[in-house]
Amino acid sequence: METVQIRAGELLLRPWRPDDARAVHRACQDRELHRRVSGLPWPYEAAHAEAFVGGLAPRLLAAGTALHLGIFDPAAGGEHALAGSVALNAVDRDAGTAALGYWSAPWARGNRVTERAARALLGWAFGDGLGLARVDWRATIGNHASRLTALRLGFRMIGEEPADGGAGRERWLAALLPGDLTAAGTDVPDPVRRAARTFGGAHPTLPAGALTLRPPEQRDVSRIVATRSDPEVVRWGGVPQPYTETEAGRHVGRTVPYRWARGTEAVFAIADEAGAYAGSVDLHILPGDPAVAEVGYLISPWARGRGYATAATRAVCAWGFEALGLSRIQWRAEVGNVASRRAAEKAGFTMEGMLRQALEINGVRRDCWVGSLLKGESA
Amino acid sequence: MIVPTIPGQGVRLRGFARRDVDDLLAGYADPAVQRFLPPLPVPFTRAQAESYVSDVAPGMFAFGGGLYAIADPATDRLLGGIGLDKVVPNRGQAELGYWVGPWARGRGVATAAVRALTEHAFHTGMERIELLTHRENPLSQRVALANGFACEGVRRGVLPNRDGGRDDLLAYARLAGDEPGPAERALPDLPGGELTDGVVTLRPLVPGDVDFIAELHGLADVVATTVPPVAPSRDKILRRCACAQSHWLAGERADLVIVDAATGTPTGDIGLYYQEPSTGQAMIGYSMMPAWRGRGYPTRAAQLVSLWAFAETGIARLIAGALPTNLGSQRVLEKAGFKREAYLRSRLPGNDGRRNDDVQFALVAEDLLTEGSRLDG
Repeated sequence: METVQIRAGELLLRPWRPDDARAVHRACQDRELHRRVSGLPWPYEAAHAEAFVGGLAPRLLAAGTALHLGIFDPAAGGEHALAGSVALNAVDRDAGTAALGYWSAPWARGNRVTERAARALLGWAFGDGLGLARVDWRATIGNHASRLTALRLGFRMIGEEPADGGAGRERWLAALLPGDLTAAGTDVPDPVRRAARTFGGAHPTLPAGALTLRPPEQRDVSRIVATRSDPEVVRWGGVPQPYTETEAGRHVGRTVPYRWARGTEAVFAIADEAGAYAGSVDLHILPGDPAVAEVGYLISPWARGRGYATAATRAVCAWGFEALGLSRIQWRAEVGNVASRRAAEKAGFTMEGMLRQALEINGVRRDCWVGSLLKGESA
Repeated sequence: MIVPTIPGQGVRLRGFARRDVDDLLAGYADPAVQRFLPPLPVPFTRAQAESYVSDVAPGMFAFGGGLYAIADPATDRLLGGIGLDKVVPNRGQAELGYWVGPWARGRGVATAAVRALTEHAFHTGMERIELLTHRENPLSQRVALANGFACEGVRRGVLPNRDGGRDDLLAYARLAGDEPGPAERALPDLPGGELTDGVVTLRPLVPGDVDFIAELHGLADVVATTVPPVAPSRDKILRRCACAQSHWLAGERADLVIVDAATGTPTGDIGLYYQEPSTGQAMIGYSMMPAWRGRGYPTRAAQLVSLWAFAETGIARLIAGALPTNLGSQRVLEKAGFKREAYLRSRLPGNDGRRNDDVQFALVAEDLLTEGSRLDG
């Protein structure tokens, strides 16, 4: 592959040189960078940087199989001139395909450096540069910063794949065709942006009056089992029985963190004044409309009659409008589930109607009430 | 290289022979074969055909796959070709491709040949056979489904086409351990190919409907009821018409044209979107040309689609939404037996980041049983 230099506004993209090693080494001391980029050694030594910029990158470039470019902002001084890296890996000129990768230096984040650099590189690679027909993107599920950049570039999510060997972390998979590449300044809708910021961070703990909403923990398992085996919860919530510590352990250790990482659902344990599990409340984003979510809650049998569901719903909805950019939070419950309806109404929900046979609980289609709380409304 | 002969139902797979050259030339001159086999050189010369039967086809066996002639078992005449390539030995995986000459179509040759070769491959150690079909090639998708291949997704831009662009391919696959028999279809074909009550006829949308759909969905009041309310581009309409049959075969949506039964004139469209197969819930939506409004056609169309859905599919609940201001559509739904169930605030994306309310209607099977169908409109 020929040596390339690409301009992206004030940014310059060029192949790595041996004297970039110091700056690369410094950038790669950042833990956040390692969380986002897979395959980098840790601790990241000076020798790693030297081997990469002076050995591996030029070798791959000469072989024509990968194009690793440094992103430089000449206006920033010294080592801070290095803003990040953008690369086309697994370049296959015959098939017209490659895979995009990028990282940004910790001091250069927040002004879409990688997005601007990647857009310039992709424009070049789809055009006269490499004549590519498709570029793939992969990221560990939960790397919402990278996903947001990919979405802004026009990538379309295709699905998920297990990591190499099946044992590692699962990855998102997306592809970009030449006509998909967006113009500079393209952005995604506000709820998508907010959800990426929220789900890309740690699962928070939220105050809810005297209660606290927090991620469920392993110490909650016995109380979760007792709650999800309660006849009222089983009857109205359709929890498959028997529900044992195995299911509860999987719920805490897998289901909740997976859904958080995917950005599809936020599940909180409702903790009482003593910090003990007293129920659960969640927001599930509707597939196909990032501005709408559905709220669900269940209260442990020993904690009922104290307004916990109302307090938890108020708190999680206020958080959802702000942190997820929701416009509408929907509530549905089987007709006759008066306790759930009272809690929703007290939390400010407006009843909107009755949907016949719209829920399937314990294998039977059931009529359900539907109501909503809109952004700007409160109890 | 001795190519095994593989028997099938009304076909026999065998090695290519010099006597196949004329039929091979005729098959490869067919526009449909040329369209869906873009690696095929056009024109395909006699010299290339001769080299194909003597060298290229036998040579394919060296890579673990193979290329067979599909022959008539009675006359031995060439009917088409079929092969396995892109073999990944450590995955026990290969890709199947085929063509059938125009003289041999319409009698299940492709389905029988695919079945014979797939079973042969599984018997000889393959675990997974892929069949990549063009989105706009519903006949090939039917062959895959008839042989129990499951649609796994789409390979975007994977096939260079003859215009310098790239086409998507649908990825179908069958595993050695899959249940025998054809793949189940969530949306089966219409009985007799259409639905009619004598006044309106519903027939599947086809690629030739592009101009009609473009006119219909360019109307300001039709755009206003679209979600989100944006007129579709010409390109989007082209794709919608070209892919309508593949969407139907995949069980995603049934796109129909509402035709005036007396004159055969297209008057509107109605679609059934199987949005929630897990809960048996589907949605319908429709649009009418202004000249044909006020005759109860959409009511009739909604009733025909509902009766078909409850009788022929696993759909248990049909929903439809209307903007609060769209009283005409609400009246249509009520006349078709749908019940108004809820007024959902801010349910739909509108223009410029605004949201629209949605009046929700639904029809469940019992509604038809208790009230009977009202095909008088």
